[in-house]
Amino acid sequence: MLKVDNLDTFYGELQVIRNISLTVETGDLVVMLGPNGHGKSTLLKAICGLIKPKAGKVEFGGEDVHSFSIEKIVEKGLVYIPEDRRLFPQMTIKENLLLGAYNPIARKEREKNLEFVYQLFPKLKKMYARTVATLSGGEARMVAVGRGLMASAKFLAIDEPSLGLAPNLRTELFDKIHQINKAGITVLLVEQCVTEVLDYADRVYVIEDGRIVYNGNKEEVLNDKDVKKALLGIE
Amino acid sequence: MKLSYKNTIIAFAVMLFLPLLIHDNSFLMHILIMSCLFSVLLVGWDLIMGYAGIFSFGQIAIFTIGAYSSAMLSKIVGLPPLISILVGSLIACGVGIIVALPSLRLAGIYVAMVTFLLHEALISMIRIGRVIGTGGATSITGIPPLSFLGYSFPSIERLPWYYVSLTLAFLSYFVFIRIINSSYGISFVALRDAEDLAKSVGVDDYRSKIIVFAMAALFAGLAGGFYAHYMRLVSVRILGLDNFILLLVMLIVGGLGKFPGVIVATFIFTILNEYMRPLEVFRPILLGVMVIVAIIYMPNGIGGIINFITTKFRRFKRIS
Amino acid sequence: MFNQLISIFANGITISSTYAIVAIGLSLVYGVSKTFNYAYGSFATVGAYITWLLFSMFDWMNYPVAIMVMIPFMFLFGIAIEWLIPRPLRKNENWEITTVVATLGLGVLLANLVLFLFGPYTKALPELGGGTVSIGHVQLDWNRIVILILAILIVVGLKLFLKKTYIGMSMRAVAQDIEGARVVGMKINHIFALTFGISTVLAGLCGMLLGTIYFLTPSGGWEIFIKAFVIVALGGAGSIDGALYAAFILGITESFVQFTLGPIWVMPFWFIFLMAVLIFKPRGLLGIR
Repeated sequence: MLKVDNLDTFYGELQVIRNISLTVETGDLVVMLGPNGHGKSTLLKAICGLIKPKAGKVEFGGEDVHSFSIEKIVEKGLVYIPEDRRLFPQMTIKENLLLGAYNPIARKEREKNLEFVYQLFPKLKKMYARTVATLSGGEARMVAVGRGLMASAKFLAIDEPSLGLAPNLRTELFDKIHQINKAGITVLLVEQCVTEVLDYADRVYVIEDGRIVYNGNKEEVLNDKDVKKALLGIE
Repeated sequence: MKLSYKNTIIAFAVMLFLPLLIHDNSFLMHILIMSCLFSVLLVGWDLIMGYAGIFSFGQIAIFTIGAYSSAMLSKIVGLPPLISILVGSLIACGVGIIVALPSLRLAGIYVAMVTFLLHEALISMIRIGRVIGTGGATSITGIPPLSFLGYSFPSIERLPWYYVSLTLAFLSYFVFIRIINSSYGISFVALRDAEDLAKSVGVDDYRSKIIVFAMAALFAGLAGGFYAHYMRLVSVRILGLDNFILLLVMLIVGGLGKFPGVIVATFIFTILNEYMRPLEVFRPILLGVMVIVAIIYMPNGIGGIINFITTKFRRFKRIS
Repeated sequence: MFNQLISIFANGITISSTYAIVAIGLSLVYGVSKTFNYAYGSFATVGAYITWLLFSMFDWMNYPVAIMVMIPFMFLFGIAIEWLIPRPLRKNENWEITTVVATLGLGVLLANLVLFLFGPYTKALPELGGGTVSIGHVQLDWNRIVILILAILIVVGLKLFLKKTYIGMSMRAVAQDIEGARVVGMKINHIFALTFGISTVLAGLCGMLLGTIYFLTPSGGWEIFIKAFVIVALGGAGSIDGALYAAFILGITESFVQFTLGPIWVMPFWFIFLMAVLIFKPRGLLGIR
């Protein structure tokens, strides 16, 4: 579904992504791990068309992502959920969710998607009239994911959803993301060294210094002692 | 990039001998005198807007304050013109500082607006000031001519006035080049090009902005004073928006923060403006179009072109 | 004396309501696109002269028709201007400064175009309603009452539009977090253009309403623009409610200044007021950012 070919990205003079290639199959939940500041977020933004790469190509459903405007990319179902959420603070939860369905395709499926989001996060349905600025970090994270789903996403690229969340909320959120994935939406997740997420992943990439240094499925990671120790810090 | 004095000195030499060719042409001499005076105002404007990044629309208001102050001090109080010009420029500088102190801490659009409003409010203030001799909505006439060491400079005599305004212009260029090349100037360029970085290494922009704003105001006031004694008449028409837009065209077409450009543009547009006078109402319309077109299609202005050519030329010399 | 105070106050309120419209328009564009439009006052002038033109061309002209013609005209005019000036400039690094300079040029251009097309002589628009009403000992012009009613309708209508419609919600969204709006896939440029169009309509309507009180002059727009700016500065850039309160505070104060010191003190008053606000409340009354 998504194919990244020899991607190079610079931030000014600094090369952040060095010749990265990866693929995500339809229906997979792929996790990208790596320490902070090693290019994961930049890669995710480049995949979603928010940053123009210096070289290389990103293909989504066989089409070159960077030949489209961001509106068009979202309309095609490739939706990015930023690490800092970027919600509309002075609006209610429901308004935020509805605005997620901005593209014409999503607008037609608005009711259905809203139903799905509310079913996934019953809490949001209960407090739909709350202003987003008053929400806790965990609640705001739910709104962000929900808003992404409202765009009729086929592919969700989520940037560090667990950032700043307590461990129990973190597990809950991963569980929700897993549910989203089971509902047929492909997910690409960026995380720092958070081990809980491995339980749900179909495939894991590890990024260090702008390069992919490891790539394997869940079993391989869990069975590979060196990788576990060196990259995830667990025995 | 440090600016060199070399080109300025060459230009000065050319300007020094220019009257040999044209001293008979009173009209052309007048235009050159006006160009010199305007260039003082505009170089200051370029310094604060293009280099220091202060978004000021008050430069003409400050020029006007200098002009009116000196006119009134010499005509009503009876100060000798040279003294009144100096005092007038200090008053202009003081007003500049009063406006700058609160507004330079604010975001750019606020500075733009405060200074624009200063400009508009000044028109009313001059009208209100009729009772103290500002001439109200009309003008102050019969301003004494400049006199120096017993020699008086009537406006009819273009040649001495030409050298007076040329001296003032070059004095101001040298001061501004010094400022741009000084630590202030370098910190401004740093602030302009990499604000976060500059702030993190401790560039205090507020203090230096005030100082530079004050310097630009001082010179604008001086130019205003000399203008008043050259024209021997000042009126609120200086503050008209057609005049405002003319000077803005010079600044923008010259290229913001591209130093010599603004001077070249001043001379071109002072001359062009004279030839555009028969167009009457079309003149400001045309000037408005010029501002828009210049800012969209040549954002670096003439200064950008000059810099481009000189760097090319240097490279060419290096290669050959 | 007391009755005089009441009538100054009442006049202040009607004037304030027109200032509110124009200030909200300025604030809306700034809030959504961070663009500061120096030609905004000239847009009000254009609106007023269009109204005058309609009345002078057709004998049967009335205000409902004039408004129906002016709204789409001003809207399209605003969209065209947005497409011509702020949009290409937004790609520049210093787009905030360059947009201000370019729109200032546009403002001078428009004012002089009006001067060329309509001549320097002042013009008057017909009143919205003739005669006066007496409430107690105070006499109020029908014209001013209609202005107030129209202004309230416009402000309420605009607030409902922003609150209830999807497109209005999108405009608020862009104002609150443009990055978020981009991520959601909003067509930011369309929303900028739409906002600009709406603000141009508001300027036009304000010009029309003020034209029923004051004479029309080609350069009258600058005063409207400056007042709108001071209101926005006091109310906090981007805040509509702030602009509304500030418009009434300043409009009513202005009418007292005008009465006690004379109309020539109005501009210095706005300047001194702006300086005071910026010294004591640098971010406006209800400032956001």
